[in-house]
Amino acid sequence: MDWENVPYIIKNEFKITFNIIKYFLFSFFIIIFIFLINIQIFKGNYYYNIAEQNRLRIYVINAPRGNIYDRNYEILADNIPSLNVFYYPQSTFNRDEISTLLSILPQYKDSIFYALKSNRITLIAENISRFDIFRLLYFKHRISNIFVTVGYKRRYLYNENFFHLLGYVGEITQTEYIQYKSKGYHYCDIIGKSGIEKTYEDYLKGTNGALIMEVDAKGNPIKVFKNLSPQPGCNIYLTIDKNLQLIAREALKRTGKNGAIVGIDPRSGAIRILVSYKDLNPNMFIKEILKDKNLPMFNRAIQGQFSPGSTFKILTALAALNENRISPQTKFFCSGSFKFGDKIFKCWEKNGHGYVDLFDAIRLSCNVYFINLGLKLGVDNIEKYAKKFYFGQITDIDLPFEAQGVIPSKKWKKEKLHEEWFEGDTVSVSIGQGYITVTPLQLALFAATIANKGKIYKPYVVERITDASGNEVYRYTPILKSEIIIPAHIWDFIHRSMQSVVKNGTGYAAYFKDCCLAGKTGTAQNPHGEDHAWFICFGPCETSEPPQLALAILVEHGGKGGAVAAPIAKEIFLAYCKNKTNISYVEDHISLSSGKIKEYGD
Amino acid sequence: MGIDRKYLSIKKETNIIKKVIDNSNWRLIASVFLLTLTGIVMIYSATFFSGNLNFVAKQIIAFLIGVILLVFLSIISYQTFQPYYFYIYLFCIFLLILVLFVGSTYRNTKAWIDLKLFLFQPSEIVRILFILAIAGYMDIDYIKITKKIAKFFVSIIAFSVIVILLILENDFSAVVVYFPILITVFYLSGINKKFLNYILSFFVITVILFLTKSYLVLKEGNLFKLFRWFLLSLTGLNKYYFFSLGIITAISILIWWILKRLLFRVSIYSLLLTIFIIYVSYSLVAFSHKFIKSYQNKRIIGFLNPYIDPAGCGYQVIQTKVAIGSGRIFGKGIFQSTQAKLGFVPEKHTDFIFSLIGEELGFLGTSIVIFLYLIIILEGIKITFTSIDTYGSLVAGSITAMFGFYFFVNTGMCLGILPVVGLPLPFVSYGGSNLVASYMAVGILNSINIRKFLY
Repeated sequence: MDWENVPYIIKNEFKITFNIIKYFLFSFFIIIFIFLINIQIFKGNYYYNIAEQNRLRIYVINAPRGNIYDRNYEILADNIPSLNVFYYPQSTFNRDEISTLLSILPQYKDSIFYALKSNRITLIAENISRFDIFRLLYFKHRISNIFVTVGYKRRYLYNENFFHLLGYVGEITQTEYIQYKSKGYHYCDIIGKSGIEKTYEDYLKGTNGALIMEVDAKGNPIKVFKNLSPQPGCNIYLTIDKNLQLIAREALKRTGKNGAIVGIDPRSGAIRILVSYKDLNPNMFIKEILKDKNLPMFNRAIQGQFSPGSTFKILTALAALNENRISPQTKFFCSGSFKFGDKIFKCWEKNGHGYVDLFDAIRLSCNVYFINLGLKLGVDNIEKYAKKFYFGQITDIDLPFEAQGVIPSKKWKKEKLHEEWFEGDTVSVSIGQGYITVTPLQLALFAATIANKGKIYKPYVVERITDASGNEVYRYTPILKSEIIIPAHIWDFIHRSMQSVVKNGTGYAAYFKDCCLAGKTGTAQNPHGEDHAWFICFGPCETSEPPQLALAILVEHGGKGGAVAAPIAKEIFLAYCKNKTNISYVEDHISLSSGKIKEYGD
Repeated sequence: MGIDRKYLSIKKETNIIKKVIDNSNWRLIASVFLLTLTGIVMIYSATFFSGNLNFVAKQIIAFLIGVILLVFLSIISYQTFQPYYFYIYLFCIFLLILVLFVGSTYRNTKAWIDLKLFLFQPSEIVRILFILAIAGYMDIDYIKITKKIAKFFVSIIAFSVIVILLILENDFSAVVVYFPILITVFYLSGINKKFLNYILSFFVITVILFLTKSYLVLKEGNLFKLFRWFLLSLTGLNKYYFFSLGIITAISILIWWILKRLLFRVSIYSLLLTIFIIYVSYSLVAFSHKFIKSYQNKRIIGFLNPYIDPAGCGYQVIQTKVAIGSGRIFGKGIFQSTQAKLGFVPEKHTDFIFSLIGEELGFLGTSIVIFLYLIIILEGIKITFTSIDTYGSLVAGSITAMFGFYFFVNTGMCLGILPVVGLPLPFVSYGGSNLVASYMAVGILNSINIRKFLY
């Protein structure tokens, strides 16, 4: 059949039909072309990135955290290599694989199930034994998604001794991850949780390296694409004196009570001792410890808020002298109790001290005398001076979670308790009781300020920071926060009276002949149980140079400050003076002349 | 006509070589060769990684066989096939039955005959032979309109036999290609357009409903509640099936009434027929889940929304799209592909070779492939128009439609426009039988082109 014999009308119809088919085919081409332009040109980079992500697998090589040293370059915290098992979710995990994994690492059952549930890269086990590693590698072909890497584990050389100061590290939590994501943190990263580890996280962290591998669709590595070596974190040198810290903690532990000891170098604000007991061993972190009623996670030295008790009387005395309300010779009669309104305030000496002047009142810690002083001064003045000594405010120490304490005032009481201020409250405050609370750090700073005759240096812990190759990246210079202007004779009087506290007063337990100390005991009544024992002191005194160490010692529910807290101060100062003569200290920003103490030995 | 045909035919025979060289469609042949060359290079790129040169060698051998067949089919007149259409059809059936008995199974499909040297896939050749057969049958008594409906049903039966055989072989993707061939042949052979339109709309409605059903099965929410409920009932997924059918019927009657009011000439029969078609396709779709195998349903789901199961059924769709896109404008360079080479793209040397081209040669490469295909299709259309007889037109038209369909389905599948159907990209994809069959088709096209003049 030839076309020529076909009628025109059919031919025409044929042509129309074919035109339709032609345009149909043509539209196919246009559709394909438009899609190609969209995918390859407009979305090209997007898909290119996906393809790169597909083929490249990044294995993070953790950078070791920086070491932490004390002021004598003794290591407090470093790292040890550890074998870690990671879960990398790639393909689905079948039941056999889970059971094999469980049989190898039965002790990590919880974390394995947690990892499976979370379905993201998770650390399953840390620092596993050689035996387990070999078994794991032997069964590697049966378990997909499991990677064994060499990482670093933080090691704290003195276990619990520096727990509250150094803090501890742990895996980053969800909330922390959101907060730190912009700084390049990933899941499974180790992050400082408290103490120095938290505040100086940026320095300690270092930069993680990475091994970038090209992998095929099944996840098998084909070749190394890039190898970025990790950069270790910076080393931190603290102002802490390791020996003193160990002795202080040991002494505090021996009391069998919880407590805190803070030691400050008054000349610069450098923290020499920071002990908080109860503490725990950060090398072996157990979850049950969080439920301990002794609150081992709670850093009493900077977070604990306690009534200062009689130690606060120094402030009342200073204020009264400076405001010219009394002279040191002014005497008040102590009958053993003080009746104010319908309330009776008792002196700790039941029979009373009789007529006492200020010197003896400090030495014997007479409540009645200071109640009279407080009434003469009024709460406004006490508050004014307390604020000057940084009570009721944070001291800006470079440690996290610092508490600020409370210095009550008329305004404060109205705002918080919606009550008017009574004179009875003033009576309580003037002897360091009532609403007033301070942290051990604040009291240590108070002692240091008295030692310094009014100069308040910002307390600090980190002296300097060097990078891994030893270049200095940070050095602290002491910051004078403020200076309290009080005439020198008042300071001298306070120093003398505080020395007499140790020599033949309530703080006699701290007395030893090699070193002249100035101190003040405190016994803070509290509604929770037995009294808190306080002792603040500084020394050595009676030298041409200012005192070198100021202490605040708290023994929670310890009883009498003079009996419980003061012996600890003695122990610390004994060690301090001994070390001072034997060990030549590494050059600090203040040149320490050794051997001076001996001259004033007796 | 005043020309002596006998004389012409004698002359034709004498100058055959010169005629072939003069009248061959070199543009068509050149683009086919270029595509084959691209294909061989890409197959080498896809397989050299494993150190296996078998694929390239086999493709080159198939190419040489294809060229010989192309020359042979160009020299002999396509008209010689027409009288033997029935025998050709019988031969098709024979080949397919032969496969059922002696065929070997690969990837769940019993479609290959092992000829020791290579595997021969008869369904590829059958497709070309079927074109010759059906065109030859439709062309007899072309002018007689009365016979055409009968011819239509006969061809449908003939086609059904082949479909049944292919389904027995489990070769579903081969079935799909017959539809464009049949549609083209039917439309070109002058069967009542209205009738064909009804048939076609039946298929279109069925497919759309079927896709809607698959989509609804896997996707919760996302649609208006009422509309979703309506669709659910339409596709037989809840018990209000008849209610929604009633609504559809009412809407159809309303539209018909409005058209009538607007003085369109729409008969009551066309309305009834439309409603009937809708009913039939609904019932088919409503019970379709009984016939669809799970992996096929997964492919459809993967096509509709690959991100529902990116690790499972959506994996191929996403990864091929990523491969093409990641090539950007200039590509990653030959042998430099990552998606394909590292195994993210499956079947990179056969069905998904277009994505390999997209990744290694970029937009430039894919545009060149599209351009070459455009030339093939345009030349095919030209040959259809200029053919000396209706038989040539029918053959050329269906071959062109076949190539167009292959191209569109394959690239559409790679780009994620269409579901994953195991169709190769002719001339480019690895596959000896397909390449040889494609060259045969080009040979036939060329043969029609050579004989378009009366001298």
